[in-house]
Amino acid sequence: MLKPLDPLLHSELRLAVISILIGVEAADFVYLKERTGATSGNLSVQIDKLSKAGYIEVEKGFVGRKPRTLCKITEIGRAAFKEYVEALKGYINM
Amino acid sequence: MDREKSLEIISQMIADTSNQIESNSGKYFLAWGYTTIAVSIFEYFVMCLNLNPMLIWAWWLIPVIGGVATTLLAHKEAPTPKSYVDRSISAVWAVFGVSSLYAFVAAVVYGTSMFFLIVLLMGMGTVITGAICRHRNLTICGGVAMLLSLIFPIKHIVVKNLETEALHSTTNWLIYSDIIIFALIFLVMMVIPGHIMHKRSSNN
Repeated sequence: MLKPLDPLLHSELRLAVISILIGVEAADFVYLKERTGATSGNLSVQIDKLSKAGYIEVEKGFVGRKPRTLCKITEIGRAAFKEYVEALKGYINM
Repeated sequence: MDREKSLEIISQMIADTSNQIESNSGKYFLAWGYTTIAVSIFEYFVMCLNLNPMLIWAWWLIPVIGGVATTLLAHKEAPTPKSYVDRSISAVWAVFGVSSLYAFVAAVVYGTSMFFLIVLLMGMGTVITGAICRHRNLTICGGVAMLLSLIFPIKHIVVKNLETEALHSTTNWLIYSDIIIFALIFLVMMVIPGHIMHKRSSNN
């Protein structure tokens, strides 16, 4: 039986964010915005959803005088991504 | 969103991020390479022209200018993700940088060759960085620098075996040529691969 796809990850922007974070230690908001091409508002909302689910950690701080939001994937997020990819493989091999 | 689109997003984001990580370090090699060459040439003239002996401390301009340039370049950089590669490279250069300062202290206290040890250590750091970033040119240039570091002990043995009179008759150019060799090795080890990496990242 095919595993259902995690609805939290099965969204274009959230999946893009997690796919970026899976390969790095941390990425800041501006970088994520540039790579995904999303608007600040939409990206904030999606990051908040991922953070509330425990998939990512968000650190707010400053670099000099500029505010900086740093995002890191958590172990829960890593496991969820792995499971999502496994489920996806099941659908592709069908 | 269909499944094919999901796969496309995952592979595209992972590929984009790894390209970004790969293309960041060329300018740091250029900053440290050119700084070392400039200070070495300055020191060479200080020695050849018998200028103020206190100017020997100008060697410390290398870590000072290099450190400031590194901080400024990092500050100026467009937002990039912090990767495991970045962390590994930072750790490698922190260890080799501190070791080079120890080599300088050893040279002052015990009279060992500062140039030999520093080139060897920096060459090792360059080889490891090249291996981590998968930059073949960097690994090769670092390896060549490690080999070239042997010039210093070989030259030392040759000069030691020369008769004192013959040594006295040689020009300052030969006596202080270690400094020029040191600068040339930095050209091979940092400036050339730095330009290659920088060009590649500009093309990307």
